[in-house]
Formats: sequence, structure tokens, C-alpha cells
Amino acid sequence: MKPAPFAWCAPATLDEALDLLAGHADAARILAGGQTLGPLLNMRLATPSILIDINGIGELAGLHPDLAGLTIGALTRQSTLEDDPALAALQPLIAMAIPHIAHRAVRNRGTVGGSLAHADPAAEWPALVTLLGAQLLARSKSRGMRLIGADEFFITHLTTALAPDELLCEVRVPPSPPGAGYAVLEFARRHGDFAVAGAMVRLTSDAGGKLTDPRLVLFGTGRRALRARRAEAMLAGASAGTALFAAAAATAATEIDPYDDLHASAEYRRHLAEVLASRALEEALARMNGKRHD
Amino acid sequence: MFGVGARVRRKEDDRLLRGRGRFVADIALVGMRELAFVRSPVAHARILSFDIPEQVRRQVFTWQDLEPAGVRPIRAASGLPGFKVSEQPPLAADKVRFAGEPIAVTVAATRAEAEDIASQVIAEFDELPPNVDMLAAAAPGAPCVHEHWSDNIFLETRVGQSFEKDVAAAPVRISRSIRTQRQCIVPLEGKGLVAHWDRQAEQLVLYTATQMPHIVRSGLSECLGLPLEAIRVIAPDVGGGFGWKGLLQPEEVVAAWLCLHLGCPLRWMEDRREHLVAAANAREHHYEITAYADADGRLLGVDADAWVDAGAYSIYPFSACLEAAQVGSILPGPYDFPHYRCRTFSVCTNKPPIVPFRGVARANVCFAMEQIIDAIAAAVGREAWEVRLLNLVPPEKMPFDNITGKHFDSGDYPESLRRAVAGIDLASVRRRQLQGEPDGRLVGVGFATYCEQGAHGTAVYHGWGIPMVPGYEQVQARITADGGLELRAGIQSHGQGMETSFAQVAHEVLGIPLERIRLVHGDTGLTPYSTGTWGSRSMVMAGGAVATACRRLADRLRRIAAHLLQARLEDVTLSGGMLQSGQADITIAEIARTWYLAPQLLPADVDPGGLEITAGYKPKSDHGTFSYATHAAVVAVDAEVGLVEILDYLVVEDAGTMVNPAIVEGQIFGGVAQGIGTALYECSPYDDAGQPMASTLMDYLLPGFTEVPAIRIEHMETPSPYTEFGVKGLGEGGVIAPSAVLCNAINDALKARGAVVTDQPVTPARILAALRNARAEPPP
Ligand SMILES: Cc1cc2nc3c(=O)[nH]c(=O)nc-3n(C[C@H](O)[C@H](O)[C@H](O)COP(=O)(O)OP(=O)(O)OC[C@H]3O[C@@H](n4cnc5c(N)ncnc54)[C@H](O)[C@@H]3O)c2cc1C
Repeated sequence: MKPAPFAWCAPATLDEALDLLAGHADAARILAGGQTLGPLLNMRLATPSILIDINGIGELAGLHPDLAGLTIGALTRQSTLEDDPALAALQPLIAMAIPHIAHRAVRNRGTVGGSLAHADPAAEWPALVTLLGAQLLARSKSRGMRLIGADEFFITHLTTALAPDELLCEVRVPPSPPGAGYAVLEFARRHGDFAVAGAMVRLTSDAGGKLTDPRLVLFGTGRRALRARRAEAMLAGASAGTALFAAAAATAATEIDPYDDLHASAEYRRHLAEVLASRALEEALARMNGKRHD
Repeated sequence: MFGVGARVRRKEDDRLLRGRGRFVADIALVGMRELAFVRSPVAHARILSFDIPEQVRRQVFTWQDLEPAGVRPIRAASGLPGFKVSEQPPLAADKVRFAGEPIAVTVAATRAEAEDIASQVIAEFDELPPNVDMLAAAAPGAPCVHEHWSDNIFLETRVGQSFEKDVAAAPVRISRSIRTQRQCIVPLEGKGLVAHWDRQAEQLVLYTATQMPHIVRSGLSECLGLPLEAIRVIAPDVGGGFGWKGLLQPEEVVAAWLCLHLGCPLRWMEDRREHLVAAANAREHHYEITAYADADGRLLGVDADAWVDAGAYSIYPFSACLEAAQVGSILPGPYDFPHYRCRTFSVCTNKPPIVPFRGVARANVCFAMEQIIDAIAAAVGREAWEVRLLNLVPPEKMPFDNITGKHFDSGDYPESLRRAVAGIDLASVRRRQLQGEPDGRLVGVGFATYCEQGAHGTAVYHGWGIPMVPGYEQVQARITADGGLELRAGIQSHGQGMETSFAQVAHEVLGIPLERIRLVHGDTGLTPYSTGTWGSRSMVMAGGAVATACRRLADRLRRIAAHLLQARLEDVTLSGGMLQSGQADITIAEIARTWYLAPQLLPADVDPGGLEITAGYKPKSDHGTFSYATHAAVVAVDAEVGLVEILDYLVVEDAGTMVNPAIVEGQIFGGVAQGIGTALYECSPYDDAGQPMASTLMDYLLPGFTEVPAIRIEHMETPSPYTEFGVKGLGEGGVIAPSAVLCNAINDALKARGAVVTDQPVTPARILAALRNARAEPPP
């Protein structure tokens, strides 16, 4: 479990990094936190001839809240977000989801951009940006700057819309709607594991108590995190209630395309998706109604 | 208080907890090169040819290089009648028998380069049908793993006679099929070795992560044809073993030979993937059990067939049959009942061999037997603990010879159960179950009682006829000129804290301060012969030898003291490191100075052996010691998704006299954590082609600290009548009961829905399947 030979370079600026990428696109791999790439290299599942280490590019890290929402640099560590006291008010869902990502040691190194670029269907970040309708900003020498919507960014399992010479630079998350109730529920055998299945929910309602723009995302249950649009359509404009939530969860479970692996069969994943979706809807509702504060 | 019974901090923890230990990986020798192994990608095949690129040819070695040089296959026969012998060439010869089996080795300056070369070595195979499931492999007509055998059974054993007639009228008859899964052992430190030729000593020196350096030395001598004195095996700090480091590894043989052949130091470190897919495994059993009981739940008889998937080869020294043979003799557990019959099969399959993993066979047997007890209780409508109590060997029968001739030395088994029932507060769990949980989960409580043979004696191992039979255990003790004490023992402490506990024993006898007592262990060049640390034996055996050696030294000290104090021998006492007669006294250090530096002052009849001695020890009974415990747990099961949370876990244990309660508790905590892995998480499955499917720690799930609850321990302390201070072996105990307890607790939770789980690990998917089955066939 030692990597095949590779060259390593550590650009100090974004521009240098983009130059290197332009020169080596197909043979290069970007090294961010290394929490995923490290094992892939050691197991020789990835054998790039050059690693472009972006850890020295300070401008890629950090949080920038403004009126348009929250901008998160690609090199921001998960633990930086976890430790930011302002996050829970700005983006409650992100604050709720981060502790589910691996263990603290992994979060200390792992980055938001690495997680998004890797596009693991069971990872939290792809689900988060999908639910929140975030935009991902990529740069390259050939195309310049490009904003990609979360829906277009994730193509399938471990595959994104990024071109080989493109660097993911930041994530732009729109502001949290007032009065929203959120929930993140995951099923994992052990604390810190990737989710076998997970559900994220955002609920808001109008003055008459009707749900507006409900969001339900399932992850770990298919080739990419998925907004359960048919379930969302059932919820939109309706009054929240247990029967409705159960029906919406059942519908959501038909929208996914789950897979078998060592930890769960496809059918078990579908079952989990339904249970988690309905529990997450209930939990988000309780938060929206102010009945739950944790 | 620092002697036997004192809760002192472990001497070795200062270096171990600060990361300052010296493990194999910390050893670097000048000119050392690194090895990587090429491993079979297929489970069962003839090797047709190797394709090795010319530019690396001289850095690649196969059996074609080793065999002509006289290297012999690893051979571990059992003397039990009918045992079929397997031979394992340390690099596969003409055939591979499991995926991961080493087929070639590469040498380079770094491991990465050795792996680069390994990736260029291509073998061509003629694939054969693999034996993946032990029951299919045991069936007539299955393809043979070893072509010259008539079937795939290493060994069949039989205990007892058929007794159906005697129990024909039994009101209760319970039959169960029970499976336990293949496990990897996964110590924190994997295996690893550094081999070099010591020109001055004219010795092959092998640093290796092992529990049994002397046995590895014997095995190497057999495979390499070197006399024993030309081999020195050193186990430095070893980061856990649990049985995985209790064998001669093919990689050790290859590296040792290659070091002699190339004339340079070599290193190989097992990586996690090698450990998970290519190392010896453990614990894969299948049981078909029928138990008979009377209307109160009193056991009348147990009838069982047991299969153990022993993998492709018989490992050195424990052989392929030890596990199944043990099943036959220990299945009755701590219970007293009149009829027993058991057949066992050690089945040869195309999977890695098995080694005895901590709590070997006992954890599986406990899992099977304790489910049966719970099933009987359900059938007679009583609390499971009441049925246990009815069947446990009572204290007034101790010492007790059970139905398979096991000699239980001492203890009050029922009391451990009663305390567990009280300690877990069964009544409040039952109330809670009636009320139901606010979150809808199902709560259940489970118990399991076991007794555990440790420190097996000569007769037990002679009976198995394997290449290693433990006899007297020896320890060398030397008082130094400044009054310190050096102990040399052939066991190997790899987490058991023996540097501390042996010092406590010596301190108990001699009164020398703990910080002045050193234990030298794990080095064949420096220590007396020993079969090593396994089978919960070191404290009983080597600890007993420490006490014996120290007592003899005390005698010699007293003789010299009597002379120097001008007192009569019988008036001289030793206490607190001081020899006294009346008002006169002298320290051990002063006597030592006299012996070494002022011999002119010694009595004429002084023992010329001086202040150095080697003493051998065996307990008064050869049957070993029997520790026992009852574990109890409360769980909550989320019946919608199948997740289990352990709400409470209690251990009531008796391992005889505790030398150091903190070490005892550490052993139990670690054991229970491992047992929770067995119960709920760990599994190394193989697909139909014989490919291991859990090749990383993302797929082989170990419990972490968030999965292991706070474990409560209550001690009982019934000394063994047969050992020094009454100590008993306890290193394995913690791991034995958790899977049985948790399974019983989960079944207790599920009983409201009529569901039963029988197989290990109890995964969420299995729980949901059991609930589905129960819905499909509602209980009568
Ligand atoms: C034990 C363990 C448990 C884990 N559990 C979870 C979990 O529960 N949930 C979860 O979401 N994740 C989990 N992870 C993954 C972890 O979050 C990783 O850190 C993350 O997926 C990758 O981030 P990284 O910064 O380490 O990226 P790296 O490993 O450095 O890179 C990952 C991939 O992204 C590419 N990349 C990185 N940055 C960029 C960029 N700016 N632009 C373009 N491409 C880029 C790399 O080239 C590489 O292909 C776990 C990891 C471990 C080791």
C-alpha cells in the first residue's frame, strides 16, 4: 500500500495552480486535504503522474458571508466550519451536517472543495449544496471563470462537471430563508462512517401554514444525491401532517435508484430512505414550528 | 501496597502511551532492504507460469528459487487419529489455495519500489472451482483443496454417544442452526519483521511481531534446516496479538531465507490490506444443535454437530484442528447435565488459514449454547437467568469434573449470575418494557455465563498432538550487585502489562521496589525456552515461575544473611526487602554487594549458584485454571431500521486472585470491546469466487469508542487451589460473552414481535429480516 511514483508541486498562487493544471490536465490530480486522495494513491486506485498541492494557496480558504449568502472557499477545512460560532445562524443545515462527516481528525484536514470534487454519493456536501441550491465556482486557463449550479455539477458516482484543467474555487450558498426548519438524518453502522443512507430536509411555510418550496434530498441511495422532486411536489402548498409526510417519504423512496454493497442491499437502502425521509420531515417541521431547538 | 493485589500503574505505559515504544517498524539497520509480496488474485488455481520482466528478474523470487535451496513447506500435523496433513510452501509451489496466498516476493530499496516491481510480476493460472462455504466443501464430491486428499475434512472428532433413547420423553426439545462469521483479528500493529545475519554471533536474527518467539524459532529451524542455535528470534514491543501473532508466518520463512541468500538485512511490514485479505482469520463456525430439557428447564442432554471453516492450510504450531477439537470439549460450558454428544469437522476451504483468536472457540460456543439456554427458557416460560441458575455447576460441587472431563477448579458460578441479575436491575428493565419507550424503540436484556479454561497444561496439549506442548515454564531471576532484580522470561508481553504484574509478584516475595525490577522478555537469546503468550497462560505459568524463582533466591539471601548477622537461619526473616533477626538487619542490596564484591565475607557453605537462578513451574493440576463470568446487557433496538444501541453492560467476573485489578479490568474492557465487534460489526465475507470482500477498514467494521459503552465490572475473587497465589488465566475472558449477551438481549427486545436472530454478527439487515419472517409466520 505505497503509491506509484508521482511528482509533487506546490503552487503558491491560484494562477500558478491553473497554469500547472493547464499544462498537465489529464496526468495531474489536485491534492487538498488528502483524506480521500491519500488512500486512493496508497491503494494505487489513483496513479497520477503529478500532484498539484493547493494547500499553500491561502486565498482558497475561508468563509465570506454577505447579503448574497455565504461564500465558502474550496480549501476551507470542515473543522473550520464546525468551529465557527456564526455558522449555525447563517446556515443551520450546514452546521447540522458537518458533525456527521467522518471524525474530527478527518475534518481537521478534509476540505469542502475536496468533498465536492470527489462527489461521493454518500457524502454530506453534495447533498447540502443540492438542497441549498448552491453555485460552485470553477476556474481554468481555458474557460476562465464558470459558475455551475449544484444540479449540473454532479453527474454520477465520483463524476462531476469539472473539466480536467478546472479547479473548484468556491461555493456560494444563498441565504437561509427566514423561519426555515431543517433536519439531517443519517443511517450509519458506526459513528463517523459514510451514510448507508441519509435524508436532508428544509421546510418553510406561508402565513396560512402551507408549505412553501419544501426541499427533500436523499443521499447514499443512488449514484448522486437526489432532490426527491415528486415528493417535494406533494408537499408544496399542502399543510404539514404525519400522513402527508409518510406519503411523501414513500414517494421519495420510489425516486431513488439504490445500489447493493457490502453494507446494505438496494432494497434495504430504499427502506432506509423512506424511514429517514419521514423522520427528517417530522424533525424539520418541529424545528420550523419552534418545538425543537437542538 | 505494591505486591499481589495492588492496583499499581503499569510500568510500560510511560513509553507505550507516549508513543515511545520500540516496535518492529522502529528498527532500521544499515543496508536494510524492503520486501513486498505478490499475492494470488484467485482462490483456487494451478500456477502455469510466471511472467517477470527481465530488468527486475533478479529482484523477484518464487518457490522455484526457494525449493532448490532446501526450504521446506510449513507443516503442522496433529497426532489426533485421522488428521490429514497439509503442506504450505511459504511461496505457493504449483498451486494456489486462497486469494492472497503469497506467490512471489520482491526486494528493493524501498517498499514503494518493491511494490512497483510486484505489480509487474504476472502469473498465469488455470483456475479450479473454489470451496467457499464450509458445508458445501464438506459435502461428498466437492473439489479437493489438497488434491491428494479424499475429501476436505482436516479432522473429524467425536465426543460422547448418541442418547436419543434416554431423552425420548423430554418435554422440551430445541433445535437451532447457528452461524458465526469469519473474522480478521486486526491488532493495532500488524505483523512485521526485520531479518539480518549477525556475523559475530553467526546467527540469523529475526525481529518479529510475535507472541511466541521460541516457537517461531523452532518453526524457522524446521523450514530452513538451520540448527536452533543459529537462530535468534526477538519480539520487541508488540502492539497487540490476540492470536494473530501466535504462528509461524510464511512471510517469516521467506524473509529469513532471503536474508541468508542475499546477505543483507530485510524488512517486511504487513499492511492493513494484507492483514484483511491475506492473513490468517478466525471464528467461522456452523452449529446444528439440539438440546433436551425437562419442564423446569433443566438440561437433559445436548447433541451437536459443529463445523469450523479452517481455511486452506494447517498453521504452525496450533494446526487446523485445535479450534474444532476445542468445540467438542467445551460446548457444555459451565453447565452440569447428563447426556452429551458432539461431532466436529475441521473443514478445509479456499480461504486463508485460521489461528486461535482470543477466546478461541469459546466465544462461538458461548454464543451457541447461551442462545439455547434462552430458547429453553422461552419454551418453559421462565426467565432465562432462572434456567441458567438451574443448570450451572453449584459451588458445593467444586472442584468439579464435567461431562467432557474438564476439571473446574473453584468458584461460585450461580453467584456471578445472581449478582448480574441484581446489578443490571432486571426488574426495572421488565417494567420499562411494559411501559414502552417514548421513541418507539424496543428494549431488551440478555445474560450469558461462561467458564474459561486458561493456562492449559501438558496433558491437554499432548492430547492434541500438535507441534507444541507446554511443559514447565521457566523464569530466570538475578539480583544485581546494587540490589535490583532482573527477571527473564520466555513469554512475550504485548499489552498484558507483564512488566508490571511480574514485578508485583517478585515484590510480593522479595520486597524489592517495583522500579528496581526489570522484566526481559520476548528474546530467545536472553530468555529461557517458553511456548509463549497464548491461552491465558502467562500470569499463571510464568508468574508462578517468578514466584518460585524469587522464593529460592529468598532462601539463599537468608542463608547469607544468617552468616552476616550471626543469627540462626530459622530466625532470619525477609520482609520489605530487609533481612532481619531480632534487632539486627541487613538489606538485600548489602547482601548482593557482599556476594558480588566481597565474597571473602560469605559463609563457607554458601550456595555457589549465588543470586541468580532459573526456576521452573507448573500448577498443581495439569487441567489449567477456570475463570468464569456472567455478562449482562440492556439494548435498545430501532425496529424500523435495525440499529442496536447498548444502554448498559455489566460484567461480574471471577478470575481468582487478581495480581493487579487495573490490569484485569483493562483486559476485560478490551475483551468486551472486541466481543462487541464480533457481536454486531466484524465480518470478512467471501464471494462465490472465493474473493475476500472486506479489504479495507471501511468494509471490515471494527467498533470504535463511540460503539463501546461504559462497561461496569464487579469482581469476585475465588482463588484457584492449584496455582501460586490462587491466580487464574483471564486474558481472553472479556471477549467470550458479548456476542451471546447482545444476541440474547436483542432477542429479548424482539420477542414482543415474535422475531429471533441466530447468526452473528447481528446486523441491522438481519434484525429486519427476522422481523419480516416473524410477520410472515406469526408464532403459534
Ligand atoms: C475515515 C474517513 C471517513 C470519512 N467519512 C466521511 C463522511 O462520513 N462523509 C463525507 O462526506 N466524507 C467522509 N470522508 C471523506 C472526507 O470528508 C474527505 O476529506 C473528503 O471527501 C475529501 O476532501 P479532501 O480535502 O481530503 O480531498 P482530497 O482527498 O485531497 O481530494 C479528493 C478529490 O478531490 C479532488 N480535489 C480536491 N480539491 C479540489 C479542488 N479544489 N478542485 C478540483 N478538484 C479537487 C482531488 O483531486 C481528489 O480527486 C471520510 C474520510 C475518511 C478518511
